[in-house]
This record gives sequence, C-alpha cells and structure tokens, in this order.
Amino acid sequence: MSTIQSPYERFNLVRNPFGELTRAERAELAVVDELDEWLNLLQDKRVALQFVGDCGFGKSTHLAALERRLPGAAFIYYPETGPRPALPRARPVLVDEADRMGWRSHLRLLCSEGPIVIGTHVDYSWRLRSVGFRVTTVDVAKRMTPELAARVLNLRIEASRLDARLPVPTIEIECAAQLLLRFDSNLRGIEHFLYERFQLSISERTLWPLAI
Amino acid sequence: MAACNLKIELDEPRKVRMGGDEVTGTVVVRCDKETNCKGLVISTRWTTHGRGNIDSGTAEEVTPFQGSWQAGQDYKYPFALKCATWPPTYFGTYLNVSHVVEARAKIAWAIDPKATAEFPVVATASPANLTPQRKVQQGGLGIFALVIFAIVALIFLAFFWWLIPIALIGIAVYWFFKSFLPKQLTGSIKTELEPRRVRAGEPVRGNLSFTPQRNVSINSVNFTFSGIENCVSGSGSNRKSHKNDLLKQVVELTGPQRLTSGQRQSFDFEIQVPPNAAPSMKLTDNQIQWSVLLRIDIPRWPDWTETIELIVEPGESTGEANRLEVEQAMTAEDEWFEQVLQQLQESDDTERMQLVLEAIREHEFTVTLDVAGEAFELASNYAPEVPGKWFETYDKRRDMCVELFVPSTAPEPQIDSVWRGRIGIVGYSSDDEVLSARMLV
Repeated sequence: MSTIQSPYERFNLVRNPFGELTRAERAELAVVDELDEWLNLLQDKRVALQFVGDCGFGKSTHLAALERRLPGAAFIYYPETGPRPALPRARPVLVDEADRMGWRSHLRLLCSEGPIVIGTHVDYSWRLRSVGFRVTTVDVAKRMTPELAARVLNLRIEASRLDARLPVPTIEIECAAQLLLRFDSNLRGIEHFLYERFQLSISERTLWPLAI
Repeated sequence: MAACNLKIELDEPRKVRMGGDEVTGTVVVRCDKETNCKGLVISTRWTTHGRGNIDSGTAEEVTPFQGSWQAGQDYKYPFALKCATWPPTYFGTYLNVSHVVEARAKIAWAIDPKATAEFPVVATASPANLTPQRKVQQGGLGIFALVIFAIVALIFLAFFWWLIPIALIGIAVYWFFKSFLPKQLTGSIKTELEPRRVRAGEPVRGNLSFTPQRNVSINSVNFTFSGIENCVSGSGSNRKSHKNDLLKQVVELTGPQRLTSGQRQSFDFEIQVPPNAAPSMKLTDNQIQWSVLLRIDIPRWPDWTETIELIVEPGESTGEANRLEVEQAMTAEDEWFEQVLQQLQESDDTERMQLVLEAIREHEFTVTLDVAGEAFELASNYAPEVPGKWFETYDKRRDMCVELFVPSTAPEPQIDSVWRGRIGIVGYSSDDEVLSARMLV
C-alpha cells in the first residue's frame, strides 16, 4: 500500500505525464506555433485577441503561454463565484474567463486602451469591434488537429522523462485522432482518460498506451 | 540564445534518506556560449504529482554561484542540503510525493535552464499537527482575510437575511433524521476509539455501547475501516475532487437481532492497521485520510452513523523497511541474476540447462541494454510462441551479449540506443557466450 519505489521508472518516466501541472509548467508545455504572430499583433494598442471555446479546450493554456512571453503584462482570472477581482491598469492585460467579469469591469475593459487578450466561452468580437478594437478570434477547438494533439501529449510525456538516454512511450497521430474523436477535441478530457489508462497499465503491468 | 546544460550528480542516488538527512552531490554546468548567470540556485524540494493540484515545499536552498560561465567548460558545484522531514516519498494512484534536488540557473532574457534529480525519503513520525500546509502567505494576511470575510458576510446577511430561517430549517431536518430519530430507538450512544494517532502495523481498540429505549430490531452493527487518497484539481467552478480507495474493510460486530428495551449493548472491537499503510497526509489539495465509520443499521429507520478520523503515522519499522525495500530490491535482484548466469554458464549439458531454464521460466530481471541492431543469426534455439523480432544487444554492466526477442505487440527498441526494461531468460549459448532473452511487457 505504501511504496517509495517509483512505479513510473518502468516507462523511463518520473511521474504519470497526464497529471495536474502547475500554471508555469502548463505555459512551458503549451504548443502554440502562432505565438510570435500573436505577439506581433499585440504591439498595437487597439488590438484585441480572444480565445473562444468550452472548458478544457486550452484557452487558459494559450493565455499562460502568451503571458510567459509578455513580461510586464497583467493577468487576471475571474472565478465563477466569490468576489470579482479589480481589472488591472497594466497593458497588455490577459483576462481569463472574461465572460464572468461583470458588466462594470467589462465596460472598463472596452473603454480602456489595449492591447487586450481574453479567454472566453462567449464571442465578444462584435462588442470589441464596436468600440474600435481590431479583433482576432481564435477558436481553440478548431485549432486542435490530430498532429497538434499528438505533439501536445508527447511533450507532456517528454517533460516527465527520467533518463535522457532511454526511450519513453509515445502517442501516435492515429491514436491522437481517435482520442480527439472520442472526446470531441476536449484536451482536458483526453488527459484525464490517459491518466487513468496509464495508472491501469502501471498497476496491471500491461503495455501502454492501451487500445483506445 | 546561449544554451546551458545543467546536470545533477547525486552521491548515492539510490540511498533512501530519512526525513531531514543530508543529500550531497554536484551540479555540473556546461554552456555553449559565454553566459551571465544571475544566480545558480540549488534546492531540496518535495512536490506532489498526480490528479490533484500541485503542492510543494522547499527544504533548503543555496546560491553557490553568480557570474559568468565560459563556453565549453565544465563547472562543478558541490552541495550538501538537508531534505524535508515531511511528507515522505509516496507513490499512489491519484497522489504521489517526490523529493528532488533542483538546480536552476537564473539567466536574464532567457528561459532559466534547470535540472532535477529524485531521491527517496522515508519518515518515522508524522508532524504533531497534521494541518494543511499553506502556501506562501504574508504575515497578517490571515487576519485581513478574516476581516474581509466578516464584512462580506455582514453585507450578505443584510440583503439576504431571509435565507437564515431556510438554512436553520435545513440544519434542523438534517439533525432530525441523522441524530434525533435513530437515538429515539437506540438511546444515547457512546463510542470510544483509542489511540486516534496510530502507527502503521499497530492496533486500534474501540467500543460502541448503548441502551435501547424500546424494543428494536436491527440488521447489524458494523464498522468500516477505510483509507483514501483525496485530491482536488482545478479551482472555482472547475474544482473537482478525486478519491481513490486504499483500503475498505467492513466488519460486522453483530448480525440481525432484536434488542430489548433497557438492556445495555456493548461491542468491543479491534482494528489492525496494515504495517504498510500509507501515512495520513494533509497537504493543501492532496490528502491521505483514514477513518472508521460506525453504523447501527436499523430496518425502515434512518441508520445511526458516526465517522471517527484516525491519523496513521509511519510505522516504527516502515521507514527502515522502505529503505531496505529500495536498497535491497536492486542488490537482491542483481545477486539473483548473477547466480542464474553462473548456473547457466556452468550447465555443461542440455538437460541441466533445460532444468535451470525451467526453474527461472517465470522470473523477471531488469536490464539495461545497448541495442546494436536486428539479429539474423541466432545462438538460441528458442522458438517464440508469438510473432516478433530478434535484436542483438549488449549488457555493458555484465560485459555480455544478449539476443533479445521482442514480440510484435511490444514497442521495438531503437537501434543504437539504450533500452531498459524487464526480460525473461529463455536460453544461453556457452559456445558463443550469448544470453537469449525475451522482452516482457
């Protein structure tokens, strides 16, 4: 029951690669090829970049990856319940869960200068355009291809590697395609599923990944 | 961008440390360009990993260097740091705790290169107060947060005072069904459980007694001794709890019977905490909880239940046993492998060889092999039952050639790379001095 011998060594890993990560790790492992393009966009003050999608599709990860490359930028997360934090004055500002920010903060954001980056479930492009922002909308679910999903998942495995000289398991593109189909592109759902599968292969000493 | 490689070489990497022991080793830095380092920080840390949000802590931290590194040179920084005393290393299903030495070079305008090396830590005692270890908190913030909470609560109550009676009714209904109704039949119930802090491997003794106030039939009196990993991931509306049973033991103290009014009922019981029970842990988002749920199952009536939490401490022998488990696991397996090899090498006839091979048929060995290429000329006459390929490999440590059969269901090892994994021995050729093995998956 209590064990101090790592069961992950068998796969040349230090941990289950699909477990929770810190925000910094999530940003570090984000696969965002368009990052430089978006950073260029954000040079302009009247620019708004919005990431639209449901929970678990990677909005927060995109914001974290951008924040990592924007020293001095302000990041703010609006929780579903509890007191809403005040909108920071620093720009660029990255707002996660912008659809929860309340109308006062929303108005302040629209009336202020940019550049702004938002993660939201609701498309705000019309409202942002109406106050003069040039808006770029990224539908995070549509970005997800089998190739990208395989890269994201393999990067997570790579970040859990134990010995640089030894091989680690990989996720093939075909497998990623099946997972995307099964979880409707929900990456968080895929991670949770693979976590359980991985633990199963540890406890039952079977091949990994198991048949999806 | 200058690239810097950091490597941590631990002295005795397999050694199991007791909480608070010193960890020694060397950080080796090599850069491919001249690099200005604002600080090389070496620390001993513990961190959780698994389904819950990450909890972590730093035991000791030093900054042995600040300055410039020249290209192509190896710089070595020896360190001696104390590891954390709590929590101990633990590998579970949803919760894992690892101890690492981390080296991080702070470099301006670049992503800080870092390296980590893991080492196992055992504990012999739990902290006196197992309360959640909060992350960095500024002095006075607790009181400040309390004041804010009180103000928010007052404002809330000023507007939603009408919710108070509804909440009170809810509490009353809960109390009525959970406590009042069962006690109408059972009378006042007394429970005892000692000790509440128990070492793994030791017993806990308890008693449940009551005097029914009227004649009553019961289905059973029982208790459930359970241990769970309880981890929380996400925050706000994404907050999700993940629970994994470590142990669930239901013990019946008595079966169905009719109890007579006024006749005292008393049940003594003993719980044996397993010697390898995971110690109780209460980190911020990751916990190991042990509890005893006592139940009087009354037909067509709300059951009486009471849950008593136990703190399971590492057993007196757990630390030492764990230390030996890791240290001996390697040496015992190595010794066994050497013995098997010796037996095979000394088997001068086919019959004896077959006897040895038959004896070790079910045994697994961990090996690290350099994969040279696919094998076409085989020393072995082993006929695999499943399709697959043979590979020529070399065990550097034992200076021995190994032909490795890889079933087609297993991932093929890459040629010119190192493969580490478990094998079963299927043959040995004394003429060619080649061991034949099959990859186990």
